[in-house]
Amino acid sequence: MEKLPKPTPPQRGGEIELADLVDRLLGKGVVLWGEATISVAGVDLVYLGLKVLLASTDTADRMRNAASNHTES
Amino acid sequence: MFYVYAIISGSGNGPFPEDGILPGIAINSVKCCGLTAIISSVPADVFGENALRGLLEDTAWIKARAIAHERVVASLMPRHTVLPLKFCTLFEHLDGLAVMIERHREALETTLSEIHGAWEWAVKLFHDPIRLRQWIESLPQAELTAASGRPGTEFFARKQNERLLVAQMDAAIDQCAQESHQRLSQMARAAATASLQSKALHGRKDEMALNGVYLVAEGCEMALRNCVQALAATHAPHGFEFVLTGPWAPYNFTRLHLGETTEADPAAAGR
Repeated sequence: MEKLPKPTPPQRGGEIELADLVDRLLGKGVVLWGEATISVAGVDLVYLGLKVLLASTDTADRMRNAASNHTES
Repeated sequence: MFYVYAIISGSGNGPFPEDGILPGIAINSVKCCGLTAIISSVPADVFGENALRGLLEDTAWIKARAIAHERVVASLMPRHTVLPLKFCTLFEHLDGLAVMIERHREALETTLSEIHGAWEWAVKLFHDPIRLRQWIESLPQAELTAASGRPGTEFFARKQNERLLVAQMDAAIDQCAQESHQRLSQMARAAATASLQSKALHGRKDEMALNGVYLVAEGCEMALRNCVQALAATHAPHGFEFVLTGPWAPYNFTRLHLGETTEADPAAAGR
């Protein structure tokens, strides 16, 4: 395979990086929930709290418009 | 008690980073049904339900753990297909984890095959309202109402023109976001738009107009980079800026919900 240039690492420690990290780790990822699972409900609550910061209403509307015009593949 | 970072296909032999979710906490792999869970044995006085509830109120603690968690996941990426789990996925016993993996083996394997050989990249689009406005104002404006010279009329004409300008700016932002997302999606195996981040979160002075995520095959990363560069060349003069980050584990393309909520809430079950 052709050698690719080294990818830009996500900006570790930068503001964008941390916001992205929180959004992914707490908001996404596979949920594996069984009898022996310790409650992760706390994580959801923390994320909901952070989510207040995650989407401002005005721009979220704009994104919804953009998203509805392009079906996710 | 066990903290689970990710599930990978095949066997996951190290080397792993020295520190897991906490400093000095080792990282191990556990095989189950042809899959491997990447785990750490963690102390109950930190990750037990009561202790954790308190710690989750400490933003600095969450940040430090999120960075530690991501470091482990990132270390797996060069050699494995990685199914990233939600932050603080904790099991009392390894038996319980094995039961879950066995029960959901098919869904886990399907998702692993969907993401095999590809990583998540994120492209954020920001716009500088001042520069965008300057660009729009520089365009020929056929519709603008000419001032007649009478004071009252002039006032309303100015208001009317201002409204028109704002509408034009909004349309330009929407168009740029949509066109960019569409073109970037063509470079990807799958694409989605994540929630826009507020200024408080992204910390820039400009407004975010697109937070696109793209599942891009390893061989197509260059094409994605070129696409971002081409978009930037077209739109930068109008006050738009593109920020590419990655590669990430495919968090936005592995959103399985595997557990006991399936009967009560069919929407939360799998995909």
